[in-house]
Amino acid sequence: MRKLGSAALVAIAACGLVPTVREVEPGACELPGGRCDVELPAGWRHERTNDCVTVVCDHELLSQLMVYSRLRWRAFPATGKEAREDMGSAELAERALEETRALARKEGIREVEVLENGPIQVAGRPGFFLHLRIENSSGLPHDHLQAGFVQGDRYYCIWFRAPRIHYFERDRWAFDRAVETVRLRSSAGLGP
Amino acid sequence: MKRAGSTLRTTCLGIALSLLVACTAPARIHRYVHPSLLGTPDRPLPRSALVLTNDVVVEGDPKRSAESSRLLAAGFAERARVEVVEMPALSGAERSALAEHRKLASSVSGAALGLVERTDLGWGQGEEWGRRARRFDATLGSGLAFLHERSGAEAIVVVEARTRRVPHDLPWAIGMLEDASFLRISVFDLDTGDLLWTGRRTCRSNSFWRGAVDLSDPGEVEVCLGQTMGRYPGIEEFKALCPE
Repeated sequence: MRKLGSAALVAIAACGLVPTVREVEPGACELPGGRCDVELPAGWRHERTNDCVTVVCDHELLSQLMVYSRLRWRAFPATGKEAREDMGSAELAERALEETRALARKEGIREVEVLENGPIQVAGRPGFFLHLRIENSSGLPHDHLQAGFVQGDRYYCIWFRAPRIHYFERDRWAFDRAVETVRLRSSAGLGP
Repeated sequence: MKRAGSTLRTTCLGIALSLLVACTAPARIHRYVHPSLLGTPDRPLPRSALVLTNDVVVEGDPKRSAESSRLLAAGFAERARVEVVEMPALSGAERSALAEHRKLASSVSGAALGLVERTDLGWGQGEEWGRRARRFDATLGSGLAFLHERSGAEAIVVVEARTRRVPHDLPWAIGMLEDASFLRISVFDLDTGDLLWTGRRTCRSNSFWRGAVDLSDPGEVEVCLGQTMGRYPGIEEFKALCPE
């Protein structure tokens, strides 16, 4: 029975429905889609989908970092709003905040506390930086960091989340490092 | 005719699910041991502890929940040879710090046991999950050190338990609706916040399997604690499951 169960789980794993162990190697890592490179924390476990890479330090319940790019007119799917290159960082931050609030509401979470909201340079582009505090469905406060910008027809975002106690301070370097090291490729519409 | 077909399909699905349930073990147990206990010489285990049982809920019944809390705390202390220390009086700020750490404790224990469960199940990558479980420095940080100073206790034990019972008078639901219980015990060092040990048992009871699920019954609590704690702290078993 145990063998049968294991076989079924292997089959499910093969379909990509369960987490797998793929560790981040030291050095720059290419974002799926080949539009940018970013340094992710070595040894963390990573999972990739079309335009997104998620890295997890220990387990999904604790520190988690995500780097993704989306077509700018689908930048904020929960609110259905777009991001534009001519938007100022404050306007872009406002849309990202609305999106976060919409996603939180879907999970029954009412309050999103804004601890910091300001402009930032990411990959040489003007962008926004948000530091939020959100209680998860069990009431445990998590700190969230977001940095986003628009380049060409894509919206790029670096996102980090960890429990406020201990894990946020321990692991936020991974977010800072990702923001410092993200580099767009010429395929990202940087011109000749 | 359409309705008869639908009923037949529902019945077949019910039978299939019942067989599936019947073929699965009723109790699942996982345990995690902190890396600092795996070295040589072994880190000593705590001999005194505060015990938190706020998250013990037996069928939403306060009286039975209180009885369950008492049985679980006493049973754990006896098996772990730990002296239970009384919680000191706390200020409002200290109470909210403790409440937040209690919620974090649940996430940290869940993360540690999640890695052990993936190791156990394999998913084709059991060894890799085992390595991650073994080197996971599970901790709450040092935010509860004030409780060590105030109470003298070396550790804090967080007990989480839930029991759910369902009516068994629906013939079509034989084996599908089950009584179920969840028990998780986590031992944290009060100075460092390290999760020294955690064990989790999930169990169900239905027409095919009779598992101990009533956490307010002394006999069933004894079985639950015995299965959850195993040979506490079970360092060798953990090393065997999660090799370096």
